[in-house]
Amino acid sequence: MAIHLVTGATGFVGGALVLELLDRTNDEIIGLTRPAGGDANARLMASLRTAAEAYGRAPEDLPLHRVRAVAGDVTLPECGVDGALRAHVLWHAAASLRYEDRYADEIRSTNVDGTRQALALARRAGVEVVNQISTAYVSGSRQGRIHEEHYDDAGAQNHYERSKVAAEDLVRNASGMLARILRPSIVVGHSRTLGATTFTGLYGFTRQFLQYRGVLERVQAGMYATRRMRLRVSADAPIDFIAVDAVAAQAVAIGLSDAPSGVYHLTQGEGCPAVGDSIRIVAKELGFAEPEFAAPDEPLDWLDEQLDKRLDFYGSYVRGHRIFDRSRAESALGNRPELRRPLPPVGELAAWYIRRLEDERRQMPVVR
Amino acid sequence: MSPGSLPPAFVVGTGRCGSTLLTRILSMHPDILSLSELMIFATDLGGRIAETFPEGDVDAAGLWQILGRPHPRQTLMLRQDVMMAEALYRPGPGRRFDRNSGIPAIAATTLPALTDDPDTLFDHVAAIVKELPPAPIGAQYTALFDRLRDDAGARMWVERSGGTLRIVRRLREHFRDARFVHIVRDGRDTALSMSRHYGFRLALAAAQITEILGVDPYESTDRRWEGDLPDSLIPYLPERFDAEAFRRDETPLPLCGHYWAGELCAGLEELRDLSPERLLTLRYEDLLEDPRAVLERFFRFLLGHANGIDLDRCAALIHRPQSDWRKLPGPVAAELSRACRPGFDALAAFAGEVR
Repeated sequence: MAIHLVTGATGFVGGALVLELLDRTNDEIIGLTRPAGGDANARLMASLRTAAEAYGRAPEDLPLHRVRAVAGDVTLPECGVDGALRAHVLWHAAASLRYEDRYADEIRSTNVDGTRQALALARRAGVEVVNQISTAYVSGSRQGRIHEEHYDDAGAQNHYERSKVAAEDLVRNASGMLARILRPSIVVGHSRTLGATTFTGLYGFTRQFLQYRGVLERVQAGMYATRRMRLRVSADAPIDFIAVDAVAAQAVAIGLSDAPSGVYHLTQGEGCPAVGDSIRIVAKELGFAEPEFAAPDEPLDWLDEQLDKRLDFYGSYVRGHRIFDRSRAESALGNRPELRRPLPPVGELAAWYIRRLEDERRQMPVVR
Repeated sequence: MSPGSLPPAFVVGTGRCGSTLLTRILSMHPDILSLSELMIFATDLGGRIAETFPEGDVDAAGLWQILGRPHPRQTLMLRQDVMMAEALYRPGPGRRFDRNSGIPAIAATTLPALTDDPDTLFDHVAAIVKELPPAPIGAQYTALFDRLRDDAGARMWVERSGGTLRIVRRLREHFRDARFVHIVRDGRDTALSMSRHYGFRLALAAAQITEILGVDPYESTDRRWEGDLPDSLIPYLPERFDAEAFRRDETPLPLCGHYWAGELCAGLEELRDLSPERLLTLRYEDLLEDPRAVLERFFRFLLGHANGIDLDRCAALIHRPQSDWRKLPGPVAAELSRACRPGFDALAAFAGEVR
C-alpha cells in the first residue's frame, strides 16, 4: 500500500485528486494543509466534503479514514513539517493563481519556492515519484501546436506563467525521482454537476465581466445592455476547457501507471468551443449587448480599454491560436474512454457561477 | 405647513455643475433656509442611499442614526486629511467633533453654513429630533427642516447637495410637494472638474471597488475578491489608504464623462413628468453669461418674486471657472466628448419635450 502526499489538497484540482485517489486506490493519503489559524485536519476534511458535495457525492460515503492532514505550508523550509514523514508519491498541486503585479512575490514564493520546498520534503519522506500539476499555458504566447515538452519562459505573459515554468524546471531536474509534469488547460466544474470549489480561469473571466457590468451600471445605468463592447481576442481560435473530474481521472490514471517522466497535457482537445463563441455566451448570460471583436493591435476606446486591461491575465487563453498536442497523454492513458468526460456547455458553467455570485452580492449598496 | 410658508425645493444636479454657487446665493435671502450638502453627507457620498431613505416608519433614534452620526467614507477622508473643501466643520479647540470622533452628517456642512456655532445648533437639532414620533422618513426630514425654517424666520427651505440627481427618484417619493431646480453644466467642463474633486475621486473609486469586491469596502472587511482589484484601486481601500497617492491621482476624464452622461440620462427620466411649476432647469453657462436674469428666474420660481435680495450683489459672486475642456489636447477632448454624448442627447430630447 502506497502513501500519497498531496499539496494543495484543499484546492480545486488538489481536492478532486484526493477524491479520485480514494476511488482508485486503497492507499493512504496525506494532505499538506495550512492550518490557516485553525485545525489543519478539520480544514482538509471540510474542504473534501465540500468538494464531494459539489461533485454530486455523499460526503458520508467517502473513506476519509484513509486521509489525514499534516500541518504545513509550502513557503516554509521543507514545508514547515517537523518530525518523521513517510510517503511514496508526491502530488504537488499547491499553487497561487494570482496575477497582479503586486502579488509577484507571493506568486513566486508559492509557486517556485513552494515547489522547491515540496520537493525537499518529498526527498526527506522518501518519495520516489513526483506528479506535478502545472498548466498547459506555460506555453505563454506561443501559438500553433503546443507539444508536451519543456518550454522556457520566453513566451510567459505574466508572473503566474513565469512561475509555473520555473516550477516545472525544478521538478524536471529533481534527481532520483520519476517526475511527471501534468498540464491541465482551463479547469472548469464537474462534467455532470457543474460544481466547482474555487473560481479561476473561466470563472475568473466571468467574474471580471460581472464586476465590469456592475461598474458600468453604477456609472451609467443600462449602458452594458445597449453598448457593444469591443474585445481584442482571437475570436475564431479554440479555447481549451476541461472538467475537473476529467483532470483528476486522467492525472491519477497517469500517476498510477508506469508512464515515464515528462510532460502530459490534460486537455480536452476536440469539442472545445471557439474563443468568440465562449465570450458571446458569457456576455449573453450577463445581459451584455453582443460584443464585437477587434484585432490585437486595434485601438479601443477608454471603456473597452478598461475591460481589456482587466482581462490581460487571460491573454494566453483568448489571444492566439493554439492546439495542445496530447500524444504522450493518450499513450499513457491507453484506450480508456471512461477517462474522457464531456465538457459541459460554457453557458451552463457560466450561468451556474453567475447565480452563485449574484446570491453572494445581494447585500451590496444600491446604485440609486 | 405653517401659514405663509412655501413648499420646499431641492437644487439637483450632477455635482460640479455650479450648484454650490446657488447655495451661497440662496443663503443670502432672508426668506430661505438654505440646507447645504445634507443629502450627500447623509448618504455618505452615495454609499448609503438606501439607509438614508429607509422603508416604513422611522423613529427618532433611526433618524439620528442618519443625521447625527459620522459615516465611514467621510471619517476616512477626515482622518486622512483629504476632506473635500465643501465640508465646513473645522475641528479644533473648543469644537466637539474631531478626527477621532468623526463628524456627523448634518454637522459636516449644513450646520456650519447656518451658524458660527454649529455645536450648539447640533444640540438644538438633536433636541428637535428626539421629540419626533415615528413616521415615514420623508415626514421626519420635513418635520425637522420645517422646524429649522421656522426658527430661522424663513418661508421655505431649499436643500442642495452635490450629485443629488442620483437620488431624485427618492426625493420625489419622500417629498411629495417639493419643487426641483435642476442646474446643468456642459458635461465636459463638469467632468474636468469632477476628475480633480476629492469627493468624486473617492465616490467613483468606491463604486468600482464595491462592484469588484461585492461589498462596500468602507462598510465591510470582506476582501474575498481583493485579488481582482487592479493595482490602481488598492490605495483607496480604507485599510491601505494612501493619502499621497489619493492626492496625486486624477479620476480618468472619460469615466467622469460617462458618469455625467449617466446621471443626466437617469435624472432627466425621473424629472420628465414634473410640471413647470415644480421644475426649473437652469444652465450654468447662462448663469455666467447673464447672472441677473437667471437669478431672477431662480427666485421667481422659488418665491414667486425676486424681491428681498440684491441681485447685483449675488451676481458679483459669480466668476468664470478656470477649467475649460476646450484647452484639453484634441484626442482627449474628443474622447471626453464621445463619453458625454448620451447626456447631451438626453438633454436635447428633454428640452424638445419641455418646449
